[in-house]
This record gives sequence, C-alpha cells and structure tokens, in this order.
Amino acid sequence: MSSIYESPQASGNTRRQRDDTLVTEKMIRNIGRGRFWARFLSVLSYIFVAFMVIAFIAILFFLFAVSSEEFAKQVGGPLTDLSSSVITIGAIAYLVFLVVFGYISFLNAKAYGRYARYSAELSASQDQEDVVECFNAFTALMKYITITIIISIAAGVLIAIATPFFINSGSF
Amino acid sequence: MDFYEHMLSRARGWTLPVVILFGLGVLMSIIGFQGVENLIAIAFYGGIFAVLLIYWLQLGKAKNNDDMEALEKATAMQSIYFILMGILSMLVVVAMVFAMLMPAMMS
Repeated sequence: MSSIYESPQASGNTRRQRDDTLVTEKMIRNIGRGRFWARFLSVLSYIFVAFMVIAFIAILFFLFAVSSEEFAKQVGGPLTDLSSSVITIGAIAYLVFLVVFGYISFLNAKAYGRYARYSAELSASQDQEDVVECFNAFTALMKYITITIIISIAAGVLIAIATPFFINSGSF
Repeated sequence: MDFYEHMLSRARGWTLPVVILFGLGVLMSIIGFQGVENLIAIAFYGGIFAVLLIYWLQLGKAKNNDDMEALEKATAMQSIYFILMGILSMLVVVAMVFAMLMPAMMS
C-alpha cells in the first residue's frame, strides 16, 4: 500500500479495470459516424433480397408454367429429352442457390439494421449494453460475409464445372 | 473468461476469415492485373482488407492488454468499414443504373 503522504501521480495507463465500463465518449462518436451508412447498406441489402425473391418467382414460373416446346421456340431449336432435363436440373440448382443466398443476404441486411439501431440507442443512452450489441452486430455481419463469399466461390466453381456439360448436352 | 473477452474473441474469430478472403482477393487482382478495372478492384479489396486487418489487430490488443484505446480504434475501424462499403455500394448501384440506361440513351 502506498503512503498517504506520497504526492498523487497521474496515470497514463489506458488498461481497462475489471469494473470499468466499456463506453467512452470517443467510442460513442466513432460508432455514431457509421450509423447513416449502416442504415443505407441495410436498405440496399433489403432491395437486393427483393430482387432475389423476384428472380425466384420468375424461375418457378419458368419451371411450372412454360412448357418445353415454348422454351424450345425461345431458344431456337427442338429440345431433346436430355437437354430439357439438364435445363430443369440447372433451374432447380439455381433455385436452391437463390434460397440460400437470399436468406444469408436477408440476415446480412438485418445485421446492418441492428447495428444502426443500437448505434442510435447508444447516442441517447450511452449504455454499455448498446456498445456490446453494436459489436455483436458487426461480428454477425462478418460471419454472414464469410458465408456469402464462400457460397459465391462454391457457386462459381460449380458453374465452371457444369457449363461444358450444359453446352455438350445441346441445351444452348 | 468474462463477457468482454468472450465478445472480443468471437469478433476476432469471425473477422479473420474475412481478412483472409479479402487478402486473397487483393492477391488475385494483382496476379491477374489487366488494366484500369483491376486497379478499381485492388483499391476496393485493398481498402476493405486494410480496415479489417487493423480492426482485427486492435481487437487482439484490446483483448490481450485490456486496452481501451485499442477498443476505441476498433470502433473507428467499424465506422470506416461502413463508410467505405456504403460509398462503394453506391458507386456500384450508380454504375448499374447507368449501364441499364446507356442503350436507351444511345438509341
């Protein structure tokens, strides 16, 4: 224990003590700066998801409503049994991709929105819980971005493998 | 491990794969360099990569040394990431709209 007669010393120590709060003025300012863009990205992501839903409905329409003969007219030639089944498999694979990618994009949009919401709440309340929620939203965002990139790479590799098969089957 | 350390560990764990993937993006853009388009890609991937790498390093510093200053820098990196991604997304949307309108404007 230090002597009570010792002169007080200013500490340059920035280490967090166990009972310290996580919130500082600078942190609130920093988190607030990204709020507008987080909201913007959230809205943009929701629009992206809406386009994916439209694409999903269009593919479903193509699968069930358009007959092989009509499609053959569009493509410009008679469809063999093999090529029509290859197109159907391709369309179903695309549907699966749209569902998975659309869901991840939806979660992504929600995470952006969550960050913007807690950032706004933090400015008002200056509560530690809101800082934690902002960090958790950003972490969730990183998680979904990782999954999105991996799915995109996997889809690219699958398309690269499947394209010669499609061409050889006489579909296109 | 208190909730603070747990939060930072999770954040670090999920940021690392994104840093690696964007790093690979930069590397591939440099290897397959062809022209101005690649310069834009390098700037895009490079910017995000640098911001997330600094974010990851600051989280490590905050976790290992209980450094509040590092945590403040990490929050700054979060907002820079949003600003960068927001501006880039806006540019992509403008380019897409322009590309769609271009044929109509030409005819």
